[in-house]
Amino acid sequence: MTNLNIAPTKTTPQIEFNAATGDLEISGQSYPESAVDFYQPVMTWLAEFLKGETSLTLGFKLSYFNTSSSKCILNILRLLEKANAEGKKVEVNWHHNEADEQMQETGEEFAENMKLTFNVVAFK
Amino acid sequence: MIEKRKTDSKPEADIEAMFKEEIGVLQQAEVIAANPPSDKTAVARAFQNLTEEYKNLLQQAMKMTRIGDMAQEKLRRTQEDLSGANEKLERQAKTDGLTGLLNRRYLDTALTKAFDTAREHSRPLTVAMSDVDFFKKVNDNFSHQTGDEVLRAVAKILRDTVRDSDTVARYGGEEFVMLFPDLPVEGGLAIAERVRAAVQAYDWSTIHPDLKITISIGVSADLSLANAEKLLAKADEKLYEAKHGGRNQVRH
Repeated sequence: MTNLNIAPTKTTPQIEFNAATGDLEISGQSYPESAVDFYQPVMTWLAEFLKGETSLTLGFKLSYFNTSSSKCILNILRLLEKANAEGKKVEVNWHHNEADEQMQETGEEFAENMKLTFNVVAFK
Repeated sequence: MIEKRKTDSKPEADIEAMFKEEIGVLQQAEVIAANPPSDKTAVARAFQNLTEEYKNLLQQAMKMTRIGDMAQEKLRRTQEDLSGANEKLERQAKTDGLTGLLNRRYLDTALTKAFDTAREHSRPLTVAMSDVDFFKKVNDNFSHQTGDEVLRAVAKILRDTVRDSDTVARYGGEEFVMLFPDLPVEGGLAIAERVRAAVQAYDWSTIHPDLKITISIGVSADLSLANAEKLLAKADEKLYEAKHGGRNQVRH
């Protein structure tokens, strides 16, 4: 399976999905003109990746995102929840700057009622 | 069945694509509701499934609401920080660093505005240009630090003596300009005289035991002059007369 690398832009985050190591990270800011256009390939890649793998760890390291992006993130999380329910070992790490209270609370909000391991992690 | 809205615009189509799964669930439910199966277990199963989906959607809606609020809060705080920083910059841009008075750049604008307003409404305006007497000697005989302290003290006396509505600015080195809007020359002269007397009466020994400070002031209220610049030049002319007339005096 090929890696998925998307360079960051002013309005879209960086995607670094390494199929070989299983390191998957979405980082930066996210307010694309079309959130669907941006996140659809990401969803497709994850769905494909989950077919072959038994475990997955996805990291989010976002500083800002709009409402459409939050829906796309929820869609990704739903996809992962389903995989988790099917017996795959899925883990999500939500990284936030330790000074960024809103991003911490946002991570905690995402984590609530989530049927998979969801860690909120502060970095300096 | 819910009418599918026209998706002529891209953002609307995007939103529907984002909610593709949810729309699918709804359409499925609508088919079942329009033509319910006779098998009660099948209906119950469909209902159960719909309940699960509804619960998921509700949870998402609540999450998105709270997350949206947090993002807005973050933006609001950023905006607040930004406007605070802007205000500070604006304040700094028009303030003289040493004395805290308005600076010359701001004065140029304020003077023109005051002059134009006075002329437009046929109101008086008095301008006073003042200069600390023998200031160079203060710097030479004492120190530049003493000189700075003198300028700060003079600035405070000026500010404390004029009316709140008056403008006091540091024009340059030891030169200060005062604008007295709505005040004819007699009134302007009276304030200028109070300022001169207050500077003379100030206890300068608090800065240095041998220190004595006075100021000279030139005043003009001649609004028949061509522009604000000319009015200030006239006050400067009068200041020159005050200097040559022996200093520590007000001339107009």
